[in-house]
Amino acid sequence: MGKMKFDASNLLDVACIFICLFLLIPIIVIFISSFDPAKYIHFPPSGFSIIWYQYFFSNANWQKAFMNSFYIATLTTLISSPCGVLAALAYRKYNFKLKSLFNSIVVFPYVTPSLLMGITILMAFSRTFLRGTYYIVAAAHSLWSTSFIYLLMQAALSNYDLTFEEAAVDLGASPWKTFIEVTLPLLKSAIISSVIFGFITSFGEVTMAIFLTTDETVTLPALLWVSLKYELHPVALVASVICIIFATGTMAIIANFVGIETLSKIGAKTEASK
Amino acid sequence: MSVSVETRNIVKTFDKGRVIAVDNVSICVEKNEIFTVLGPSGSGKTTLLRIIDGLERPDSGDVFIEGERVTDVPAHKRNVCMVFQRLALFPHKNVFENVAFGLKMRKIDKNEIKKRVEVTLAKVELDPKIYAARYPRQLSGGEMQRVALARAMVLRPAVILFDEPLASLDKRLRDKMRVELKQLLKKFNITAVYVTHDQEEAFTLSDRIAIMDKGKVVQVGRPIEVYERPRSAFVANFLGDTNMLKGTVEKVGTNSISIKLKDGISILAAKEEIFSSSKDVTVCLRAEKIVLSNEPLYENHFKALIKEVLFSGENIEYLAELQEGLILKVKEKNRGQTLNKGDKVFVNWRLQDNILISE
Repeated sequence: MGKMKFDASNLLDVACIFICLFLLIPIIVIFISSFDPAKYIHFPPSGFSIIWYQYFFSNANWQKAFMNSFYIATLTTLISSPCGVLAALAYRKYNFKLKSLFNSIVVFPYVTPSLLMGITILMAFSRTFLRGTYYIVAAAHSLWSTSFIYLLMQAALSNYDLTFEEAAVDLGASPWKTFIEVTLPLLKSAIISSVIFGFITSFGEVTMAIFLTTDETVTLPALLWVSLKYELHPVALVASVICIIFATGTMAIIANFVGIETLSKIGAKTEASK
Repeated sequence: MSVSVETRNIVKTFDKGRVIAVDNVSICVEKNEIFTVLGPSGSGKTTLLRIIDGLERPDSGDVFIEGERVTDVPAHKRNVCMVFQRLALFPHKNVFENVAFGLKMRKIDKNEIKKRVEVTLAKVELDPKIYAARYPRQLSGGEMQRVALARAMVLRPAVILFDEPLASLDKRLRDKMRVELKQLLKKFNITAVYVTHDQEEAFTLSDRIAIMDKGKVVQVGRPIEVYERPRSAFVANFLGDTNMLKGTVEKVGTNSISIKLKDGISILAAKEEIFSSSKDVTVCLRAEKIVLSNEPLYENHFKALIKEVLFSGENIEYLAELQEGLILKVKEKNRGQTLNKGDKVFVNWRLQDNILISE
């Protein structure tokens, strides 16, 4: 073997390793630190213990925050999935007046900074009974999540052949039967993955949640933020790890459903439309 | 014969009236007839088909199916079926479920559905035992074709509409399927409206052909009629390989008329009353009607030089340049003897080979 030659592909490998490290280091650091028994957050850890995990799972506030997040994300998914999916189908299937305005309106919440969304919604509803309830957080998240699901579905619908629906109609299927027999089964995986994405967006959302929740309805990310900002309490690391596991677990489920290629394609499309 | 499908003065525009897709089209398809709509892409033939099916609404005009006005009847309630260009077999349903779909929508009894699907699959020569459980992705192009036909046939519609269903197949399979399709349609007395841009397909399949250009039906007739007696320069030029020669009627004789072409030569054509002296005409001369020889043969004969030889297997095409500069396209069957570039020959054609179209 001779001297190793300078090779562009080697350089690419090195770059890839660095990028992966860059992406993974924060997660690795959090994961390791979460097992540190110290009473304040620091790195490297001074020992190994699971006391903060025990603390997390026995502390009522964190428990409640996790469940709050779960309720709100579920409610958000129930509201935004039909809205986002049907809006995308309408956009793909029909030509109507002000179609581009329709598109802009549906995408608007997604491109609006969530800080602004949080403040305006808080102002608009601060004097109503909705203030501080699950519903107002879920409504705010639904605005965002509808846009998001809409964009994901649009990506999936771009190579959806409408002839299948026409064939169903031609063979005597009513519009409703066509939807049930043809549209839904053909778009099943796209819908499932969009909906799960919508769930994750709500589950991880922090900005609007900070504005719109109270001590009673505070979500996991919101509590995490407060805990980091005012206490720097090590249990925040455990909460982070829980969030990460939750998100990656869900991703794994989707990838299993629709294949990782579709997932990255959808991701690319959303990035482009931002 | 009774009428199966009729369209009356159908007009359809797109893009707020800026694009006229179908322009005042009235056709009449008889029962058990294979009626082809032939035209270049963008001529409006598919739109016409979709209007008959109910997938598009005409701006004005009416559609009648077996004498009943269906213009306002939605597609899923019309007694017509379409075989789509890309067939549109439902990928998530197997062959049985695909064929059974229309019957299921009509809420027909399960046992009856099973019986009818199996009979229909057998009709299109697909063994139900082998194919019923297969999915479209497991079928060959020809098999998919047959499933698509079975899916329409099983409903016994008044008419089956075909939107270039063979276009996606390779040539060999397309030729085979064309023959099969014709035999099936004739065997089971199916009325068909068939849309294509392929004239060979149209000629071999159809009882009658309607030729469409820019949204209008320009001629309707049996294949041989539209080929031998085109009524417009468009039809003459669209069908076959045609030399289009412009000229003026010079002299009207007892049996023939003489026409002076733009290039200076005079040719003789069979007499037709409508062409009087000094009238401008277009002479359409099919490339395969011209005969090349060493000696003059027919009424029209001119010395020419072979400019180009195009060998295509069964045919050989020549470009022959007359002394006066006119270049004629000539098509001959390949009989093993080929002329070469630069050969001097006579081009010959008979009086009746000239198709005259008034300007």
